[in-house]
Amino acid sequence: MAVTAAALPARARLESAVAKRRRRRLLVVAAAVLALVAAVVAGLSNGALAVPPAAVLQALLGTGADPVAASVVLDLRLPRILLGILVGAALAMAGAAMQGLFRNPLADPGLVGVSSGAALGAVVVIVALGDAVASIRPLLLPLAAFVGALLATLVIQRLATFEGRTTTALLLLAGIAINAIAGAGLGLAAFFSTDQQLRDLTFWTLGSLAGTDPRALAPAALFMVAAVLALPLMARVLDACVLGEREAAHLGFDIERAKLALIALVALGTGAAVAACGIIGFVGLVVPHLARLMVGTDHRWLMPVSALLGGALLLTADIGARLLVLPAELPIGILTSALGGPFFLALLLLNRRRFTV
Amino acid sequence: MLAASRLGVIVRGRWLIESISFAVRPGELVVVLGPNGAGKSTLLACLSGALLPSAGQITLDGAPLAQIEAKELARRRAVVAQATVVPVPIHAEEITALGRVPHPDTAARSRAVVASAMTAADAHTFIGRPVPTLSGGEQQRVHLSRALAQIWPEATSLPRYLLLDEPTSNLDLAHQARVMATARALADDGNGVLAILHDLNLAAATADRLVLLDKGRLVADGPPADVLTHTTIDRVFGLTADVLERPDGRGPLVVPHALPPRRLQEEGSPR
Repeated sequence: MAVTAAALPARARLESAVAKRRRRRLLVVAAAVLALVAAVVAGLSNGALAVPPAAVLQALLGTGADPVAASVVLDLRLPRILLGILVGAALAMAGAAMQGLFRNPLADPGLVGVSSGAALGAVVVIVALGDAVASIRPLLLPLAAFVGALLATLVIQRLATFEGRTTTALLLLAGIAINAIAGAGLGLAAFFSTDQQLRDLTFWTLGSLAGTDPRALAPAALFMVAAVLALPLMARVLDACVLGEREAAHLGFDIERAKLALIALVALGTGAAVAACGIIGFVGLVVPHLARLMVGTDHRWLMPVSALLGGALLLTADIGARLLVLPAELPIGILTSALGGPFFLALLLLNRRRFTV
Repeated sequence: MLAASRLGVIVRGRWLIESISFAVRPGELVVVLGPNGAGKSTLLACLSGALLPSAGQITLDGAPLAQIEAKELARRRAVVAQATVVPVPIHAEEITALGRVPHPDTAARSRAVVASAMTAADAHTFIGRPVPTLSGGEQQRVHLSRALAQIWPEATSLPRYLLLDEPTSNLDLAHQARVMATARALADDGNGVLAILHDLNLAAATADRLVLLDKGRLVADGPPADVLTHTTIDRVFGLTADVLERPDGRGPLVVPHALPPRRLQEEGSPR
């Protein structure tokens, strides 16, 4: 059975289907890049002090006439926007990776408790260790969040995956349990915390791109960059996971190793995002879902498009957080949850048949 | 040659399969038969490398299965599981293309193989269609095409092996015949094919050899006419059957007697 003439009609169909899909995917990538650029410009120009886009450009090029505007754009908003892109990309890609690994579109790091595990890890460092570790806190914070996220992900993986299959009910129930445990831990920490620590805790549970400790951002950003760069390398094994774990192994993947790597990367990305910005819910659920509608299920496209859209979505939400209650600022987690909650309900409604079996 | 020697799997103190020795040679289509719970799928899981046997050894062309590097193994043997549920709206041709993942292909070569494999499995009409919208039988053909793409012949052609777990279970008569003809053609090209089937007559008409399992043990291994006898069918399936000769002369034709089966009669049900 060589590559035969009998396959010529199929070959023609395949070529046209592949070419069509490729065009569509390139178009989506271009649109996602544009959306991200637009969100960056909007993020740089909007805020308590409105800076017109032209002045933003001048500030970026260093040719601005207004030093105040330049300082606002470069010193205040630019770091925040870079952080937003990174957090959005890390959360969205972590969501896409979890959904691929668990073969379930509802596996969101927030819903199944990975984010609250990370928050608990970080809060333990803040409250229990307090000022004793102030000098290494910037590094300790994302590490603790990573450990918390890792433990949560491992528990979910152990609990919800049985004989290579993950059921939606077990996944979400495990998530409820982990969220409850983390909630108890966070409550306990709140009970024993000082006033300043309490303000920090509120930040962890609601999320904000303003960041608590600017010194903590660099290590967290490094962690997120690592996760964002490494996750696309797992694209093909995630594609194979569509067939099931055993079938992926039949295709030559070391599935146990891939699972551990994916779990570690999800925990790394989510943990660092939480360490830097607190819990920002639903990004990992909404963004991969939209990306899948646009580019299909191929993770080689899904991952980068999720990253771009995740960044754009988070920046847009952050503009809302900064503008809606001027001069104060809303925690961004409130906005993403207000958006993601109804989206989640709609997803359940549309897939009712599937999720009840 | 894919060979098992004194293979055994024990789970919670119970032997699912015990002391099974047999081989699939290049150029051979071997069908495994047996009642539910006979250990057919356990045997296939061992042969595919998914399950580590508790006893015995499996070799692929002389090398112990466990020592063959995973990607290398994937290029030499493919597996179609009984029921693969695809949870996302992935397109049929993307599933088939997964079969090329173990290969260092160019994009053009990959598409050529995918088109050929989909044609061979009669799945080419599903190009551009999301797999969850296909019927069970149609999905089965897509998975077969993925397995064919995985072991599609290369320039340096070592024998390849295809393991099929009930590949015809969701198919209509015509497609059952087509799938078995594809398996037959693959074997005739010098590859080894092992299939689990329930249809004794389909097995007898297409296989070179039949392997009959019962309660985890191998009870018969040989040409269809030797394995499918009145005695073995009675012993393994508890079923009285006439074994006739097919009009086309290709193996025996098993005609089970009308219900109730003999076992029920023995237990004293009215007749």
